[in-house]
Parts: sequence; structure tokens; C-alpha cells
Amino acid sequence: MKEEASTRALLKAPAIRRRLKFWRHQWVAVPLLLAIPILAVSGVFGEKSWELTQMKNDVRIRVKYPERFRYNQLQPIEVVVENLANTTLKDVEVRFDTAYINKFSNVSFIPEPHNAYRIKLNTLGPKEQQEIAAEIQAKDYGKHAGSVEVLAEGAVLAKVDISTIVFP
Amino acid sequence: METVLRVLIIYAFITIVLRILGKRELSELSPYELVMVMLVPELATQGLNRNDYSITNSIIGISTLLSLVFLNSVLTYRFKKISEAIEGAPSILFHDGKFFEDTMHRERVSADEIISEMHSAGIETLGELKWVILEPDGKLSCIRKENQNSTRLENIGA
Repeated sequence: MKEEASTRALLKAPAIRRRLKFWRHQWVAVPLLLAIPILAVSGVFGEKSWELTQMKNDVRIRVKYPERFRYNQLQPIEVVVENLANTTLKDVEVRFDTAYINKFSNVSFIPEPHNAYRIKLNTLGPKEQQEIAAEIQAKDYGKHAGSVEVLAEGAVLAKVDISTIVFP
Repeated sequence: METVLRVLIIYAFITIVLRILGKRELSELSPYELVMVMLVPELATQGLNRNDYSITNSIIGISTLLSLVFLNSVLTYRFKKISEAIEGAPSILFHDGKFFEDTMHRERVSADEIISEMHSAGIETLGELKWVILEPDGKLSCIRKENQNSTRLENIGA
């Protein structure tokens, strides 16, 4: 091995200092390329949930929904409706925006909706709260906006606007 | 996040394993080319038909891999020690009538193979042969004595 190593010295390349130089297009393209994994690590392209609360007419509605997720992924939506008044609310319903829900596939609700995305909670006693759980699967790419409303006897008591970005 | 980590781990693992295996296992491809050939289709497939069907996931995976390849090339060019650690150095198997047997054993190149490569290079006898070098990419270079013509040959299976 010693002999091989000493012979290898005969083939040694001349000592030219190695400097880094890049083409003009590389100065633009390479940072963009490097930015993608850096942004991914910082969570820009990942799933993110958001929670919004609206308090109006003695009703509090809290909606936890996916703010962004990727194509074909499943994400939950949770809605909690609370009656803050000392009286009972009758014929309470939660209505999801049809245009918003239609942007997703495999949509399921607990409890089941009685109409196109209207879920009956019936009566809501004083200080009582009820929960609705939904699951949606990303289908259409882009930003989808909609709303979740709480109705009692046909009148809208509270409304939360939500929007979701679906990555391709 | 998970995709970036997975690519990083697999890239490092394959690069280290290929470096440990030695030059002969690479033969036709450089280590980077081999890693690219192995990983890019896998990442693209994952984006199409595994749990995460999104193009976003594929793009993140592929851009992570290409970023690693680019950073690797920058580091190996700028720092010779890194280059030697990752790519290895050429090994001399024969010089001026002498076989370097230890190197031949380590690189798993037989004398028959050297003779065969020598013949393929149009060199008839060992007396005409100056150098036989196993390059970092696994290819054998046979260099003639008299006119110093170099012939670089692709390895043919031993």
C-alpha cells in the first residue's frame, strides 16, 4: 500500500485553488430550489388547522377547520355551539356553506345533516353546548371560502367565515 | 417536514453505503447519478400513488434531493477533503511492470481483468503498459508506455 501511495503522487493534479463561481441563471434558480425544502421544513406546505370563535345573540360558535392541506388528505372540522343565555333555544341548526363543502369529497358529518349541509341540534338549553364533527377530503386545488352559521327558528344567530387552501 | 427528513436520511444512507462498497460496484454510474436514478423515480411514484398523493409532496421531495446533490457538488469541489471522503481517490493497480496486489484485493480487480482491459485498449503485452488506474467512478484507465496515449475503458463484467 505504501508503494501504491507513493506511486499515486506521480499522478497528482496541479494545485489550483478551488473557487466557487456560478452562472447567472444559477444565482436565481438555486436559491429558489433551496427555498422549497426550507419552506417545507418550516411548515409552509404542511397541514394547518385554525380556530375561530364568534359570539353573538347570546350564542357562541367555535369552528376548528383546516386552513391548508394537500390534495386527497382528510381533515376534520369541529363546530361547537354554546347557548350563553338563560333561555332555551329551539329549532337550532348549523348550516355549512354548500359552495364550500362541494369543493371537497368524502364529506361526512356527525350528526348527519338532514338537508344539504344543515344539521339539526333541536333544542339547546341554557349554558348547554353541542358539538358537530365533520371530515372532508381535499379535492379541488386552490382557496375555498365559505361560512358556518347557527340558526334558531330560521334566523341566523351567529356566523363564522372560514377559508381553506388546498395544495395540488 | 417529514418528506425533507426522509430524503435527507435516505440520501445520506445510500451515499455512505455506496462509498463503503467501493468503486467497482458503481462501474457505469457516478455515486450521484446512481443516487439520483434510485431516488427520483421513488419520490415521484410516492407523490402519485402512495399515502400522500399530492404533487406538492413530490416537488418537495425532488427539490430536497436536487438541493442535496447541488450542495454536495459545491462542497466536494470547494473542499478537497470532502471530495476524497465522498468520491474517493483513484487507485493505482499497475505501474511500470508491477501489480499493486493489496490495492487489487481491496478493489476486487483481478489480474485477468486487467489483462482483458489491456487487450481491449489495444495493448498486447504488460511490457507496453505504463499505468492501470481504477478511477473513482469504477472505470479502468489503461495508459500505454511508448506514446503515452490514454485509453479509458468501460468495465466489462469480470
